[in-house]
Amino acid sequence: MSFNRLMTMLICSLVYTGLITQAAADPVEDRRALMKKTVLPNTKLSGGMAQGKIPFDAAKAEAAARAIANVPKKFVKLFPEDSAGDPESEAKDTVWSDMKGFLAAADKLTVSATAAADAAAKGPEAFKGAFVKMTQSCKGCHEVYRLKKEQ
Amino acid sequence: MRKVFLISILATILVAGAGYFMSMPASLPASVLPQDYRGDTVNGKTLFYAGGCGSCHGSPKGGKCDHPRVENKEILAGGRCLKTAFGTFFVPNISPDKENGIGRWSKIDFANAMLRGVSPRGQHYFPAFPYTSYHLMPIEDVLDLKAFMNTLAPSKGRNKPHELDFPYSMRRMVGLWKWLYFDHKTAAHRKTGSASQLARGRYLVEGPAHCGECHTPRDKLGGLRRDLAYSGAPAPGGEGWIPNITPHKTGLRSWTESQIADLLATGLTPDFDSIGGEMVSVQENLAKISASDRAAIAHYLKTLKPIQGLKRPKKKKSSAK
Repeated sequence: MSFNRLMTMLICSLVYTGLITQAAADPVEDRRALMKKTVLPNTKLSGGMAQGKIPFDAAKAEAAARAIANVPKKFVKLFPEDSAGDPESEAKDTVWSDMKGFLAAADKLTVSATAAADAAAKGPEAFKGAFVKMTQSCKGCHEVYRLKKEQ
Repeated sequence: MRKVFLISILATILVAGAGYFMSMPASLPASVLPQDYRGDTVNGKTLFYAGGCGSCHGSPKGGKCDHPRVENKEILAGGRCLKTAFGTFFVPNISPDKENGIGRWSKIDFANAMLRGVSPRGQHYFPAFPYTSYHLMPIEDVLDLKAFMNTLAPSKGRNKPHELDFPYSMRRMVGLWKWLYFDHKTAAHRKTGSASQLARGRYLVEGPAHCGECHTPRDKLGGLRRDLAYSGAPAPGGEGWIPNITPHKTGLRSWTESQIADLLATGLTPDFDSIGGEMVSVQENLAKISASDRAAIAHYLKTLKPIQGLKRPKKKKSSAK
């Protein structure tokens, strides 16, 4: 084995380990990223359209709601047992003490956001109604499982 | 020597006597009731939802006493538990049931509970029941609320005694607490004519909606720190923080009145974040009152003195997982 090949392998394995640890290092950061980078901008867009503050566009409304509907199944995997009690996190202990309820609350968002995406084709009024139902799943989960820490 | 002895006995009697009188429950006489008044159930329903009676007095979801949701806000079976620094309060049944609820209460019984924090048997209620805010309600509004609550379904929900730590468990002590913190007038308020938007907002916020009971911090004995009114406080349950709702930069300074009113109607912040915790139940109640009442609340909040709230303690990273 040449020195170059050995170096390449070493570097590759280092990068690989780096990537793995990076991915698993901070579930709190990953949760936040999903919420801040996917849920929030898409809620802003679909909410703006539902409230008539942004012109309604069926395709954009559907895509936004669909993006939100895809979040819960990834989101709920980011709550390993050893991430409980992290002072940086806004997750309440109830996430772990009532994991069943938490999963059910997450499912509600999948269902209601999918319904909102499906309603987009039926026009702004139908979308608005479905959007309001979707926000009820946001609140329903935050009521029990999230602790607000910043303003 | 004998003189000292006599003086100390006299002083003890004086202090005990003063304590006895200062802690005595003060009931309203039946004469404060307006003659032949028929309660208005429509206004009563508005006050019921402004006050959020059902958020505390409904039976807890799934029978878990500390669950933030209740089964049905219009079935006032009681049974929720409020865990506080003073012990655990169990919320009573206030449905119109004649055995376990308040179905036998007279108008003056109800008025004394709401306006003076005194039970039909003449005992103090603990201020976990926010009569400290409700006492601002005119007697007519109190009777309207009773008229509406009389229309709700009775429930057999059984009451459970509070589990409080000594000395908070002594009900009579609440009389001294009231002497310190409960600033009510001897007469009951009477309804005045139509109010301006500002007056209506102030009434709702300070009276029935009792916003300050959570958004104003408390001192060690549980009295509201009025110098820090509405500037945010640790959550009564111990976990989390209730936000500053004064127009301070750490509060609602950047919010418009319509953004505040929108949050009360939808539960969404201007950034489309959703509210959480106990505010969800409160917001869903306020979504049921009129848009003009929500606008009045928002208007009043924007006129509050901007106050920087208490510093939140930094949470230490817990090593125990």
